Amino acid sequence: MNSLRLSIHRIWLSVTTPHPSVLSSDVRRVRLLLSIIVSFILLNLFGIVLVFALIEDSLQMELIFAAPCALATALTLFAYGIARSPRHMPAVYLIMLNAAILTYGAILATPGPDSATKYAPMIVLGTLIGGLFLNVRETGVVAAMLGIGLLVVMLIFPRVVTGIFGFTVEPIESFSIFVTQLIVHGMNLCILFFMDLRDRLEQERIQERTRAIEQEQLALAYKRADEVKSAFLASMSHELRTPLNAVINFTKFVQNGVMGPVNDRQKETLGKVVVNSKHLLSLINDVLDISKIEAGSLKLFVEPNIDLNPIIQTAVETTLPLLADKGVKLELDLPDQLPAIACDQQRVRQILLNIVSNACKFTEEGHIRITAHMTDNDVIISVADTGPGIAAEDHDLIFAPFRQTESGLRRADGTGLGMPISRSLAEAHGGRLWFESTVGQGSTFFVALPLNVVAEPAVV
Amino acid sequence: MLPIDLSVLYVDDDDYSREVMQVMLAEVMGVRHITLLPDSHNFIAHLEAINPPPSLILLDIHMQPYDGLELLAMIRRHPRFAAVPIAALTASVMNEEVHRLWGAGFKAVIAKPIDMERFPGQIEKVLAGEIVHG
Repeated sequence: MNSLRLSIHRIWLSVTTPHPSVLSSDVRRVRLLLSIIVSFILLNLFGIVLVFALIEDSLQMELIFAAPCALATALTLFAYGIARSPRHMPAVYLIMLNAAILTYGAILATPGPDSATKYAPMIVLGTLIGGLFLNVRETGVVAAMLGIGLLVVMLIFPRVVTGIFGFTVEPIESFSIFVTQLIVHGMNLCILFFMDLRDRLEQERIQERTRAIEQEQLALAYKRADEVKSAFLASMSHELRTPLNAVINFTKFVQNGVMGPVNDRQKETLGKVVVNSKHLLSLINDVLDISKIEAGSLKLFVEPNIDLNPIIQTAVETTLPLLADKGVKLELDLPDQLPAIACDQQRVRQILLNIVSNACKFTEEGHIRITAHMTDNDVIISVADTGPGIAAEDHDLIFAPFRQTESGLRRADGTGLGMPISRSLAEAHGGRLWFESTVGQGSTFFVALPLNVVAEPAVV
Repeated sequence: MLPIDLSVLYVDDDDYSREVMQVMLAEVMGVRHITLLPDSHNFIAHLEAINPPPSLILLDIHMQPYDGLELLAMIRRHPRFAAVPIAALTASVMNEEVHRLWGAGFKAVIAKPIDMERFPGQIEKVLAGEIVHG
């Protein structure tokens, strides 16, 4: 008993629980499919009754039709329920059974010899249209099963029907049976078409899922390659800096007389070694930074409540030596209360150091003025100089990696990477970096850092 | 400025880095007690044998068999040296690495190449227990 109830329950579930493919996100297509099927079932019912009523030219036969029509509709619905599950073949059998029952209903009702011929062309056309959507194998199977069923019915039914219903039926007229069969067959072909559509939808979904999995794997492979690249960059940074430690410091020891007396010419020469070694060092840092930015693997180490004042001060103190031999005044005009922001202070220092040192490098007379102010969302730090300015046609070069303006190239002590790196760093903070410049009047660079940083703090 | 009896231990597997440090400490900064170790084999035994005991420890990070982070943990667990100021000296100055060092408990991280002008000031800060960055 229990197992029977269980299996009934299982059948009920398999009929009523829609397959995940039907429930999926593509609601529009599924709704279309549903509405077509429901309207088709209604048409099925209506069409059969109508055709028989016309054939009979009376409604006397209603009762006889009601039973097979109701059963057929129930079976159609059941077939539809099965069709929603991935089991295709049971649904095909049920549809054939549906067709057979409707056909037998038609046989029971077969009356006058000539009326059916009037509707035959339309029905044949409908069947052909229905068949257009089906694959050949399924059409063949359904047709064969119905043909055999008909043959059997034609041989057996007249006597049985007479016995059961207690009234006389004219000998079955084969052409009417054929016509009825065509109607039923055509309609069921349509159901199969919708099942086919369901299969296609499901296949598409499987393909989509496969694609998603492939993309996931691709992303994973990229991530792994990225990690390898990051590890390589980190180790390269280490390997390049270690020998520079010896080069720079041994040179400076000799230059500063730690290793014994040196004359002025030697000192000056060693100074050039040091300058170039340090340039090489900054080049290494910049190339590593730009590689990380271009690989999208730049990480910020955001800390809360960073006071910007000392960071700006450090940038100024570090770059002041660049102005040592020039008559350029560096003015710092900061408000007393700059708000503390969440940021990666090493990176903010790097941005400011870059902007201020650029101003120092390119300004030969006049002043450099550093100011800061707040807007609703940002702290904006600006560095204004009275340098040569940047020509309009060079404005795009400023933020292009490995590019420099003519005057920048003439100086030959920059990498052309400082500005693109600084802009990326500002943007990584959710901020901006831009400039305004007029040739002959100077340039002003602005850094805007959001008061509430949007960048995700990296996990250490 | 530096204490007269300052004893420095420096562990680094790069020969030239040790030599630079030797000159820097002895001849530029006038430190008299300097111990240099090329690796971290038998580290605790070496540490305990140093006379006078080190009052400042500088650690490279990439070393065999124990790296700088493991050495830091070993020193911090040692009853006699737990409170000795320690600085990491690293040529890996990428953000990720530096933050790994902060996370491991280093209060001072000095970047290689060291800067002859800035290094003495950085050491003073380390000795004063201040945070040193870069």
